Amino acid sequence: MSPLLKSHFALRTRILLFTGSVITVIMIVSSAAILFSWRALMLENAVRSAEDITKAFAIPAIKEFIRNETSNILIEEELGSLVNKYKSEDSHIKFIKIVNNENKIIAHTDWRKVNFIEIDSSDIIINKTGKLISAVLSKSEYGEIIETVCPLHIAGKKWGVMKVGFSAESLQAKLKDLYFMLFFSTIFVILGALTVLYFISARLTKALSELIEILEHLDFDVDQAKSAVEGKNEAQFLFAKFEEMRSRLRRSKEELINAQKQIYQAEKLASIGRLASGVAQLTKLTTR
Amino acid sequence: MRISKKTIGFVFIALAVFTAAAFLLYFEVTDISRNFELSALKNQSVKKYQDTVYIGVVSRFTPEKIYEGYQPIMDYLSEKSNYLFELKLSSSYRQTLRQLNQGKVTAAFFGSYIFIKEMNGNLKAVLKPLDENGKPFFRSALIVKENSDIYTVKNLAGKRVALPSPMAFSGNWLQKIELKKFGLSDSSLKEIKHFNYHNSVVRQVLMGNFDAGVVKDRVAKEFAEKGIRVVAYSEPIPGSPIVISRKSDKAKVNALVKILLASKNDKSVKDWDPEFSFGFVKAKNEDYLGLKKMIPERN
Repeated sequence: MSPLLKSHFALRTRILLFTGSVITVIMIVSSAAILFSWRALMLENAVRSAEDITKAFAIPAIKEFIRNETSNILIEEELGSLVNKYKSEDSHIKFIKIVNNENKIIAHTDWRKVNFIEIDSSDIIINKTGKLISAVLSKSEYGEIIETVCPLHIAGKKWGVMKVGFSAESLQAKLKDLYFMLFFSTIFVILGALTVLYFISARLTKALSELIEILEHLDFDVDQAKSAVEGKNEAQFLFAKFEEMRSRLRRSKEELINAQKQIYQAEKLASIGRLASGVAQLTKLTTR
Repeated sequence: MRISKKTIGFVFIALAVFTAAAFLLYFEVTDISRNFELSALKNQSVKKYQDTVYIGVVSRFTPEKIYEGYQPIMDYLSEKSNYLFELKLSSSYRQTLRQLNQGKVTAAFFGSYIFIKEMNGNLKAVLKPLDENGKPFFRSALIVKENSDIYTVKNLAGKRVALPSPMAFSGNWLQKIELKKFGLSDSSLKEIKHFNYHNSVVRQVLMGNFDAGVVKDRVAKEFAEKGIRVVAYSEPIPGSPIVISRKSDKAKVNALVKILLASKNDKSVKDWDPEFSFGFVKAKNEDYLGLKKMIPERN
């Protein structure tokens, strides 16, 4: 590197910074896009799976309600054992509760909560509208959970809602793994790209650097050159040098023309002198 | 390559921005919480009803099947009136009869056979369903497995036959009417067994537990392409009536009759039980007298 350019943004540095920045930004944006797409897919799958399980659970619960209408069974007992059976079969389930049309919890995996009146606007709305709905919530008792609320209904006949809480911890752990995998992959790819760019830029600017080295050995006014390249890269530096050379040539040409003019004048004077001397000599001979 | 202060500054700022973005992204990615989207549901208005009207149904199908086929009728009635119509299931045909006699239900989907058996001054048929040809009749069908060697009623000798409830016309037609026509009797058959539901009869025949069975034509049609073949049909029988009692509230009955009479022109009835998806006509007790005569009291 030219000593003249060492304190400035050289072309190679600029290539590295600009292209490196572009590559880095593209990589970060791409990784973020992939990350959010995967996140959305994983979340959608987890929620859909939770909703499907809830729908499957709702069928026997509805059958129990129907059975209760045709034969007097202890519906709370039947539903209670049903929800506990479900919970024991799926380790992801944190709780299952069934709330009737009067907002009373008639079955819960935690028996202590049975018979409590639970006024939850979402339950009431879902029961009335008959649509299954889900959310991902953080609850002090269960941590991060996917909660599904499924109306227990056939056509317009409604018996209440079934609420199931599924652990979302494994989903979160998977998302963290995905994040770190993509983060380190991105860093690795960026570093790799910058390394390749470093060598490519060195190759690209090699010829310029060599030219500058040669120019350095020419006779220049170093102070003037320094001021000329202030804040410039190699190409601008070379252009400045070229301009300087051109002005020097122009000056040399003018000096040459002046010298020629002076020589011509001197020759002219010498000829006049010689003529005058010849005339004088002839005059002298004649007078003798 | 020597790096200038400017370059170092630029790289430092870039690294700081990258680190901050990485942290923000981490929290954004791992925060999966999202609330219930209730806004769309909240806008759905819920109708307020003047009163609840309970409708009984004879237990010709499983309760789940009854809810699937009959609840849409209740929803339709509730939508078209100021009453909330609700089904009242029963575990037997007789329980539905008791519910109606005791005024626990305003009306009931009855079977034609139980109606003629229990027809008295207290019960009144108000509506009967139309079939796909627009006629207020149904038929019982003798069904066998597709590959069965039974082609006429005569082939039933020595065979096992599954029947629906003895309180249904289909549970009586074969024994009381059809066998006699072919010179057969109950004793000609190897086994006769009644099942609670028409669908149970079809399942028993399909599983091979019984050689033949009798069900309503609409059930036979439902299973026509699922391995069932119809060997014989009964004469057209007046359709299963909707019956009221003296205790039934007139205003509620009028609302029910008016709406169901108009339903045959409504395309939304296709979700109803196939027996009722072609609409209804008015019924009178006299419509069923012919059926009463057709079936002898004792075999």
